Amino acid sequence: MTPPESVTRAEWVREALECHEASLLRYALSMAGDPDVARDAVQDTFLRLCEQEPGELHGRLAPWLFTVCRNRLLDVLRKERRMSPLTDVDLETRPSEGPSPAAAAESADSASNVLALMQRLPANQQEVVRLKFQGQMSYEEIAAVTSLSVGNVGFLLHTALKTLRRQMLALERPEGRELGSRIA
Amino acid sequence: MNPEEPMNLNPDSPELTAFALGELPAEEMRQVAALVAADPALAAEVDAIRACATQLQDEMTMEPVEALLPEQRATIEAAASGEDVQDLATEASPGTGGWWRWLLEPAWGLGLTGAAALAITFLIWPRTLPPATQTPVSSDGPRYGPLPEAGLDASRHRGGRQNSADGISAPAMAPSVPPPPAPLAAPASKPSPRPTTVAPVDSSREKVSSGTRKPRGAVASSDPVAAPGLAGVSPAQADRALTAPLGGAAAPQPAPQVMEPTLMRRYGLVPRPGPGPDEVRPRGELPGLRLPDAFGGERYSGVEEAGFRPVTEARLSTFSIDVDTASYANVRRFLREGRMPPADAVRVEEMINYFRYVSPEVKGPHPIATRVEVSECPWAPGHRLARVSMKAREVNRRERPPANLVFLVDVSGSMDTENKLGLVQQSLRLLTGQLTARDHVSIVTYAGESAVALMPANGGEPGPILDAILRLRAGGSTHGSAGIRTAYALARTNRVTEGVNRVILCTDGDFNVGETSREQLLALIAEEAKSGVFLTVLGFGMGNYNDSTMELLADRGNGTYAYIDSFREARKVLSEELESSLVTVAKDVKFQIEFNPAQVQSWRLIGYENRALANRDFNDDTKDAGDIGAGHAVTALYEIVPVVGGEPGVDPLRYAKQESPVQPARVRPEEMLFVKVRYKLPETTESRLLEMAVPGEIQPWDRVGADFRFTAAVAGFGMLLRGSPHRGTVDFDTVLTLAERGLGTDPEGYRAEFIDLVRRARQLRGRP
Repeated sequence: MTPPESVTRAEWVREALECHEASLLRYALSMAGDPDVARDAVQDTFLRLCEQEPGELHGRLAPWLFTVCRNRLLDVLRKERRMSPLTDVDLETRPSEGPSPAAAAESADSASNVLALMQRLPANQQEVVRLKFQGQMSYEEIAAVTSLSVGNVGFLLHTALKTLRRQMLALERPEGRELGSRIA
Repeated sequence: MNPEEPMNLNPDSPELTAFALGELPAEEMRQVAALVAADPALAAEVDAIRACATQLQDEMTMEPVEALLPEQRATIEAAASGEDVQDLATEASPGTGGWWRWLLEPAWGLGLTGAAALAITFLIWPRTLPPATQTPVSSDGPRYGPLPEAGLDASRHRGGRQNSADGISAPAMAPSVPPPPAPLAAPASKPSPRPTTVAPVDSSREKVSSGTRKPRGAVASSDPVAAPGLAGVSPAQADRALTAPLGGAAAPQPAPQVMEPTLMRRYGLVPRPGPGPDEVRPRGELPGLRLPDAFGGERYSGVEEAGFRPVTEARLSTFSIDVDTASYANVRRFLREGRMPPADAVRVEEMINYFRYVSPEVKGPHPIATRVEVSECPWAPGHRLARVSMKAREVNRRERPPANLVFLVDVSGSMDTENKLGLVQQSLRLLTGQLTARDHVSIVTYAGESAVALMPANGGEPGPILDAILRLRAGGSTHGSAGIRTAYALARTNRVTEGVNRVILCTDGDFNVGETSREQLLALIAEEAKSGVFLTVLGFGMGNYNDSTMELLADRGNGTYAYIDSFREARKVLSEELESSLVTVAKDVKFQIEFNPAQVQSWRLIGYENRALANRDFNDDTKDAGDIGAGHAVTALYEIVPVVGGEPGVDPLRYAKQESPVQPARVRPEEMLFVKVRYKLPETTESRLLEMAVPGEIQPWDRVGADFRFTAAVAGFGMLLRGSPHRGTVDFDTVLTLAERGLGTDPEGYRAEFIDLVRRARQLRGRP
């Protein structure tokens, strides 16, 4: 159950950064609505990680990180009373590593549909969806992070997916044409 | 399956979502599987849930997010490496720790202010170096493509000749090599071989790959093998050191230094303990300022593009099909990480073949169908683009023949990360969910020694299989050959006639062949393939990913090779396209195209560089070629210079009339191409031949279908990423336009994802 002896803490932490930084940041941003708060929470989470023994978290690193991050966020937000959901303004003003705003607008009808729809879900559903598909966690792990029951997690995810599917169907693009002709 | 089924399901049951996502406990999984199998409505619901989950997964993993600030990262990395800095400081000679150390240590002392300064320092530093310091770069050249002198026979699998695109790709590649202040010192007792002198040795020993690794992002340090003790290198470890230049996984390191530990291991020298904090990789996210971190320890064989060939010299083009898709997944990973992929990681044909196309309908006696379309070439006015597509017969999920699958799982230390063994487990769970009572699964693991983790179990009862998957744990060194023997032995004992017999190797490619030589291993795999047990290679992980070895293994094993970079990709390969991955409908598929000099002046095949066959091999049934799975499509593009068009860049010949090669050959002047395909049925050794003539009339470009446009977009993108000299007028905007018009219905969203990648690449290249 222990990782290879040769793993130094530095490597272990860097590996964790590699795997989880982006998904933690997305999760934190969706909870906090403020990129700075999100980044601080994620930084704190990884600083906490630096105090852990690599072997102790083996196999449950992701839930540990998300739990710590979540608790951290709840602390901060409770203190600062700024627990507001992510707004459209935030979405538009924060710099993105993806396409430029113009390009993003161009593709708004395809790629960002689901994300936009997801952001309309109730907060608890959204959180579970993020933990599942960005955090890549199992129901059990999500339950551990959110202090919900596994059945509850399953129900929230099921409901969220159902809603999203219905809304996506409504938005579906008209079919493209296919002109490939057979020559030989 | 289970008559006393107590469970009651309707399409709105949360259990169905849990089932579709592979989240039920084994027993319930089995029950729900039975119910779903019996009820089309439930099955449709499960498919819909999966499709939705796939799309969510896709788009959510691409959701833009601002990374941690460089100083935040530096603070974390400093905190993480604190102890190690202390420990190593006494033993490390100056320079040993790598250039990073010099930057990190002040940061450690000065706290945040220092860290902020550090961030600025490392971001601009590589650009301010005098050219002289960059000389070590030359020793690093073969990493992405062999240098001519080092690599002539280095990678016979994929050419191994000088990369003709070097000149073009140099601007993109050159800054990716941060020069170290000093080379890594070898242990005092042994002289450390210089990278430059050793490169040729490297290539002769490692025929498969000419690159070296620059470790990054893996669990173990770059010297994990030696870490347990300087004196106590076990025979297995020494063996690993000698046979597996990839060694263990490794941490990020500036490129030039990597050579040394790798070489030390190769020569059996004992490197010092883990390099520790100096390997912390700067992770600046600004594309323009990104630290030129290069490409991990990943190994890619050089790809030499074949240029235009005059018909006077080459009337025939012969190649083996390639249904692999790994290159695209890998390129995607690079771009998502905000880096341009190395040119040699880009195999255009694998990118094109990643996508599903509406292909020719397969009917009649042959399991494959071929179609050729010719139109104008979007990036070269006057040229033609011929799209040759092949499709293999689909096998319906319900009529898939029974499968006897042996999962051969690498559980060595280097696999012990979330994105490797964790993803392997998720992938196997997913695959298990697709199996039925007719299928059988066994699991063999290999690390220090191989072990059977699961004796053949019935696919209709996923419980024990899922348990066994759950129990997989990493640890120990890699010893692949014993595992592979065990796996094949199991596959043979449980052989199903008229079914799928397949070993599925899950590894990061850090493959130690143990007491067997690589050649013996490949021979073993080829031998087993003849006996009907095929090999699928699933590559996992980042950093010490060994592209060339894995492709070679799959090639010899009549199998496919896919790179699983995410759960989404696992879904594509192991769920959506399971039949393609498992059921081979034709093997040794070869194409031969004859160009009519009456119409064609010169031609070039886009991609398939390492799939070229000698013309005479086309009719030689003993020559191995690519295999095609159910529903797989293979697409190849030829860029053709028609007789009237003139050679690119060459003025029309003044005296061409008399000397024109066209005159004597005016046979069948109305035809442009003649396409021949040879294939064998999976169980036979004799090939069958399909032929067709393609007339010279072309479709105007504005009339071609979405698939043609999209194929051209992918080819154009590949050429741009490779810095191909033949890219003509294509740029990222052209690619985007082609792809957007070629989007088609895109049910799985893969084409939309491609468009996103093109945008990323455009941004990385500094275009708005």
